[in-house]
Amino acid sequence: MPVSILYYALFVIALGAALMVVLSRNTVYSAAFLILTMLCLAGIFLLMHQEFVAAIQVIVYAGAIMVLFLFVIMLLNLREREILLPDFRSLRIWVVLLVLVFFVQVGATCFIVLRQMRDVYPPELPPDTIPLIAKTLLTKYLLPFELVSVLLVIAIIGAAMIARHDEPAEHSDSS
Amino acid sequence: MLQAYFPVFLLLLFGVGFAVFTMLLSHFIGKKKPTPVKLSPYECGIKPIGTARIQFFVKFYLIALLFLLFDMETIFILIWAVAFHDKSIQVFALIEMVVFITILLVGYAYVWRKGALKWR
Amino acid sequence: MPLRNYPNWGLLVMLELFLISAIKIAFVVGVALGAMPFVVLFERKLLGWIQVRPGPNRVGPWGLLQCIVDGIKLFFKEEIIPDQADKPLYLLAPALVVIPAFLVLAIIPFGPTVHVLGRDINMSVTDLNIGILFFFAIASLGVYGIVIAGWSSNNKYSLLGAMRSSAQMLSYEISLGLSVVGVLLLAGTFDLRTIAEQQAGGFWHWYIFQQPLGFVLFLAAGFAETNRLPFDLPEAETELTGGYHTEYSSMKFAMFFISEYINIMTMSAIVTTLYLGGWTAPIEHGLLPPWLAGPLWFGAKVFVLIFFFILIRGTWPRLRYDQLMAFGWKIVLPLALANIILTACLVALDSPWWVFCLAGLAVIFVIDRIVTMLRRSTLRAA
Repeated sequence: MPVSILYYALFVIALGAALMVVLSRNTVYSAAFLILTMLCLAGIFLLMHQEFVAAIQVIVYAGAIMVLFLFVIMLLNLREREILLPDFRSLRIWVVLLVLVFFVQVGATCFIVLRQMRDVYPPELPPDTIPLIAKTLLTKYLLPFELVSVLLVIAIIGAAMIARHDEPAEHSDSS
Repeated sequence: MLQAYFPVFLLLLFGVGFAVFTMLLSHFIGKKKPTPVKLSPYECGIKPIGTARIQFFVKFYLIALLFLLFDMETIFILIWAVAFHDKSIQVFALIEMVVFITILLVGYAYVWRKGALKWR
Repeated sequence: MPLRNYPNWGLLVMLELFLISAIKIAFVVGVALGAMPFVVLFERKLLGWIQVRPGPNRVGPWGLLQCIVDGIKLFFKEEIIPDQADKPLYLLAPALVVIPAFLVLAIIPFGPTVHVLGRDINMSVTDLNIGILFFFAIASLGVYGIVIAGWSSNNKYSLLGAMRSSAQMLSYEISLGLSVVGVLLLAGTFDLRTIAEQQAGGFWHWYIFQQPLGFVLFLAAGFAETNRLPFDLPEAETELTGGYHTEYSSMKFAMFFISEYINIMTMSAIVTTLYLGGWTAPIEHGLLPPWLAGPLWFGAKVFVLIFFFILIRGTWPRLRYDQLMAFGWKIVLPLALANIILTACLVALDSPWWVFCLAGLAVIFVIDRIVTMLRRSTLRAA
């Protein structure tokens, strides 16, 4: 069953890459592994017949958000010694507690998901899903659709505020 | 549907193979006589000062941020475009998109006024 | 195990699928890689003629073997890895550039559906429902190879070139996405094969005539996306030596070079499919069988676009970086939005094609006037 092998391979790569995101000392490597995780998730969506979601996953997450991450990392250019890590020894009890909570959570999630996922390989979708998604978006989810543009505008204004740090330089330029 | 993606998968394998093969081949048949000067960063003959990994210009970050936001907008417009042929919702969809773009133009005009689109 | 119902394709089906895909991939990749040296040679020749010099003419008749010899030379060149470079990422970057370039080749339809050995075979590597979205997805991944190449080389020119290049690609990706919406409104699908088929039956059905504004914008954004003159700031030789691939030598440099030319070819192919009718003939004729006429027409149209790419490179000056960003964000982007609203209105009104054409041309004319006027006034003020 080649598809199932691919499916599990993608799971393993995605998890491994996610682990490497946390374990890498170099932030650029972390970002690179996060991109790999995003691409694997897109592959998993694809294997579930959600090609549209997969495309959006690549365009937005792997293609746009990660570019932003990479730019920020390069912008700050933190060297290893500059990254402030908390002193773990004084926090030992909290670390143990958090690790425990983490494993309980992962276990519970796996239990719930695996129980519900019995025989749920998604069926093949009709070929014209994309217009259907669009139509639903434009009729049933009209309000969220328009609110998205408001949200985007707020974010754009926020972005412009960040750039205002440069403004004094501009005054000296233009004068 | 997955069968349509099988050639894409094959092509991906081919691309990886091509990259690895050419790099290994040139690695093995090219001559190698490294010298310290040859291995130093190329700066047209001048001795490089410091590292290249300096802290970068905030402008690039702003471009990436604006790109992300407009990219989201583009995706919504792309989805809308393929549904537009449906006569039953056409006028409705048109009004909806005019509202959507108008709201975004407000943000766009603000960014322009603030000079965030200006490269300096 | 929980995931039981996976599709289990038979071995024969798999084998058939594998064989057909392998043949198609071999054909498409073979054509792309085989045509590349000649595109490079053609470019050098044409640039030579524009600058009143002969261009390469020593190796083989008319210099025909020049680029093949250049390629062989690159194999034997010394492999230099700068000692300050970040080695794993430095080696990864060329692969990250060349793989997306190959992947986009998969979705280009270069001919009609033909009937071979009792099977219907589409003349394209594959046809995806998300066609043009796949193109955008892969194009958005192309940025990484460049950023990582620049960062890992640990060279100031490389890093500057990479940052410039990626910021430019990001800015124009939006324009690329928005200017294609006009065609999608008319076609109602993302699938490139369907889009090409809708333009069959004569050149007046081509979307370029209904979308003159969209065509111009898409072409401009395409030039910027492939880092070609007049938008070739990332590797502006006079200021940045070589841009993001300054530190690369041997076949690693060749991979940046190959992917640049493959990107030019795929961009031309996408423009052909979206606006110039793809493989369909300008005037219906029964002279050649469709399996031959389709690829020939397609190749001819792509060639004309590549010719145009080179002609622009030979004749236009390079933009300044702030002009480049201003052009993308302040001219192409709002015009693309205007084109969307205009096209949507005309589609809703069921207008005939010449109304689309006239409206688009009118907008181009008005914008040209306004920009010229503004430039004159700023020049006068300065």
